[in-house]
Amino acid sequence: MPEPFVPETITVHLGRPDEPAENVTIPFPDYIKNVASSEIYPTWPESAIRANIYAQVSFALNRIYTEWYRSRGYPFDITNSTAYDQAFVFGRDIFDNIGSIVDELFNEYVVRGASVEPLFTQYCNGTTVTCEGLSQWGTVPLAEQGYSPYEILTHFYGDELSIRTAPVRAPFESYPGIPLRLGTSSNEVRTLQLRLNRISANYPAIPKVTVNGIFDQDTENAVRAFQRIFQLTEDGIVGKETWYRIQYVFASVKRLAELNSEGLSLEDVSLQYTEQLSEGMTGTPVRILQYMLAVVGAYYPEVPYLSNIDGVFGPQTRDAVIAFQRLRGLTPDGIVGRETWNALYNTYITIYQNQQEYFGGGIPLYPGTNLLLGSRGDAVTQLQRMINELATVYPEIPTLPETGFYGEMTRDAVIAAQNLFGLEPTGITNYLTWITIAQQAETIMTGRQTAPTQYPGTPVGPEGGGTNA
Amino acid sequence: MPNQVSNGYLIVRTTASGGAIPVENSHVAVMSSAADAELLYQLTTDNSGLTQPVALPAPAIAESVSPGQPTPFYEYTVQITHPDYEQVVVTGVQMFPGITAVLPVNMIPARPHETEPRQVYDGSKQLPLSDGEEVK
Repeated sequence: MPEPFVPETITVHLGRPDEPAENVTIPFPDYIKNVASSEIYPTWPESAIRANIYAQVSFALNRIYTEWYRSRGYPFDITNSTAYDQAFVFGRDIFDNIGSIVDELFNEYVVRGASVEPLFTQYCNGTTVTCEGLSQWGTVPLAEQGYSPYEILTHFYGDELSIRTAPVRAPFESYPGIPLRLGTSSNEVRTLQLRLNRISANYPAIPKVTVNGIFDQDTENAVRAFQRIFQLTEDGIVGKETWYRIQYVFASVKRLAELNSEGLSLEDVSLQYTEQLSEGMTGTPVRILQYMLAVVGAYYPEVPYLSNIDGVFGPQTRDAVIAFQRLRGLTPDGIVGRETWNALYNTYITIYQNQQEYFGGGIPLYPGTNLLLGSRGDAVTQLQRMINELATVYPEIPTLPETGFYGEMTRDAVIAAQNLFGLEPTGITNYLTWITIAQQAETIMTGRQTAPTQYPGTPVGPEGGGTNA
Repeated sequence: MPNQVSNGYLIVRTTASGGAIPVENSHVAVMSSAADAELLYQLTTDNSGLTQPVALPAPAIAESVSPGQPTPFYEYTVQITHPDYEQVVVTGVQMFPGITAVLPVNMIPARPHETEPRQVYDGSKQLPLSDGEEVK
């Protein structure tokens, strides 16, 4: 049996399974916060809230683990119809105390006996509807009698329950297990500092920190500012809750930067309609279609985000087209004719023109061939420039003269970078090595940009902290 | 409103692109849900996309810790406007006593000088714990 995992995002169908309705894709913790705010009351005793949240996480993870809807051909993971699944009210308010508990519990779930499968934690309100499983109202008196969340769960689901932690399957690292705090010195702290700086390019209330791998007072101040903005307990310590929130915000920030590079590659291409596109087709028009869908998907939760812009019109592209057609009230047939193309172009260009300050920079694109000992040219110069960017924060990586010639020094620097980022140390810059180096360089470069009102990150007073003067 | 003894608190967070971009200078109007929609607060978001927390009346806690009470929470309407984004109206924003509620608002870029359709969400269309069809 495969191990269960927590997905980065979950796609929720806003209706009964067969009812035509929009699907929204949101981060998994945000989904659970919404469910918990919609299913129970935030005034309940904490043990009751926790027991309900365990049940809600397990329910959702069971749907994902068993591929309940996906295996039946639906393009979503779960519905918001309470006849089938859990309540979810898109766009509603989230209660702060519930949000904090979810940040702590979103990857913990209930299993029975030796099974690894997340328990199908059936539940109902316990008054107007009763069922085998947890009674939501029934959790309140048990909590008032002093039951722990675990005891409440066993009361309803029987003994032999255990609570397990699922890994988070996302393009970011899982929580290292030990909180990072003042005085910690590690590579994880360095990564943390790089990410905080990159996030602060968008969120100027977060002061810049010096990237040195040491959790110093400046780092703590930046962590506190991050926690204040994102309604986390403001203790300056990076535990699981803060760690994952930083990863999620960083991922959304980097997503825009990745789109920029795709946009750059299409800069000289006309975005006008050329021909009808449908599943199975390949080529530049498909690539343009995917790029525009990805930009729209980055801004509209109703359109699934297309991470793979490869010029091949596959099922993912079709689902994104259908979602966009639904959003715009067009016939949801997954075929891109003139009407769908023009509607997509209009939506795309509105975002692009409106958000230009976020559509700068980007990540230099892979030149198309591997670079190796003896290579020459502009791409090599660009690689050397990026490596020098890395060298400003990674002492493992040497600084290079930007000659445009891939000599032994360049090869050794590439090997150092490959070792550092967990790639095979070949000294050859293939696609994966280029993308990794380019991503890391973008994080450093953009993270260094300081807004006019932003604390620059050099200690100025005895506290060396950010001031809000 | 019987037994009104406490306040809840509301913070509005306006962001774009899945939280990647905080939307500064959003104008936020907080109104009562009654037919007259009395304006209670006018707020502006800061460079993190956040409003200050504001206090709003909520029912007594006894209304929401046992089943069958008529008014477990009070509801409010929040309207968000910004020259660069589509207007958003959220109805049915729930307030419980002593609880801070954060309203996350996903802002969609709009064309300059164009009247955009409203996005309307109704937070109350599904009342917690009162849905008769729950058989999951």
